[in-house]
Amino acid sequence: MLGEFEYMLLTAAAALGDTAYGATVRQEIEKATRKNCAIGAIYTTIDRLEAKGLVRTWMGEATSRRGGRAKRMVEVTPAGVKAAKEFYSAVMRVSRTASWAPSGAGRPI
Amino acid sequence: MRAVWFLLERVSCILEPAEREAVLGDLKEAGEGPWQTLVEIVGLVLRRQAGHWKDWRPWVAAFGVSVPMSFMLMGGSVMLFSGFVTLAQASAARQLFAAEVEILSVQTLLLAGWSWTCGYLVGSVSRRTVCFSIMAYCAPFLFCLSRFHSETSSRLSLLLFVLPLAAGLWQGRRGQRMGLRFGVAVAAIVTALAIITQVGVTGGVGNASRWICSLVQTLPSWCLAVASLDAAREDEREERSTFEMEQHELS
Repeated sequence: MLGEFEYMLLTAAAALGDTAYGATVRQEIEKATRKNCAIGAIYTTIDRLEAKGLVRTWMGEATSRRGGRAKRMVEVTPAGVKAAKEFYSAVMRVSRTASWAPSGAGRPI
Repeated sequence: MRAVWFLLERVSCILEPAEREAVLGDLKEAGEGPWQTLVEIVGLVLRRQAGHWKDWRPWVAAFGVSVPMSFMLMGGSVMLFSGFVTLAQASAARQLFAAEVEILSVQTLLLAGWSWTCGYLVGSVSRRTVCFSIMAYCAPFLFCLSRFHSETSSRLSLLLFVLPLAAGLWQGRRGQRMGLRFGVAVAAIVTALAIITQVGVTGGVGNASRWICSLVQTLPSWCLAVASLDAAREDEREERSTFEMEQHELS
């Protein structure tokens, strides 16, 4: 089972597609959570997910905007998509009767 | 501001080169100032270091091997130094001189063997936390240094084991794989030297605590021999699976 931050990172990376790398994933998570996110948390989680085979990373191109430094690109693997779906389903199921859940939440997906 | 950049450069060097490149690029792209960049990098370095300690090996290397072995090697170092002092004083008696030289040569080789194997073991087991292991070696040394009072020996007598230990640490940390024959040979030689020294010093079974201490210091060399045996078996397994794959492809 994924952790909540792992799930957020997977979802952000999947949403970003070809443009998923450290800075954009961090920005996406900060936008969603409305909280600051440490770059250390991003990179240690990426490593953990990669060790589990849920994402794949490689060094991308360097741009002048980044001071000529390369990006670490992230791609969600099919196993990552499956794990994210399972986490989402579990959250929806467990939230079914919660007072804060919108009506219709918890339906099987 | 220059100091911040200097610090940033130093701290970021602890990270793997590819990770440093990506993280500094990300922070630059996000428009973070030098202070915020420094805070973020320090945070990542701390997370990385903390992550290494989730494994059992750094704990064993630092507290199971480095601390006790530091005390024992210092003991061996002081004994060897006092042996040299005695030799210098007894150089007039020809017969005694020859016997002393013999036993001191064996003791010197033994201390070097113990120190090297100990350093190699710690270096190979805790490559990423080797700084902490070095601190674990230094702590007992500083403790003993502050309490060392002897009219016949210098404080430097505590340090005779440092060079082979440092060499072992360096080689172990580089990840050089020890061959099976070499590993077993080193363990056998160190054990033989330990037995010869104990028989020479105590003249037989003699002092039990000395024997125990001596054999405990020989343990790292046998750990290395077992590790080299495991590595050899793994190589053999890999070779066999490669051979089987090739055979499968051919058929």
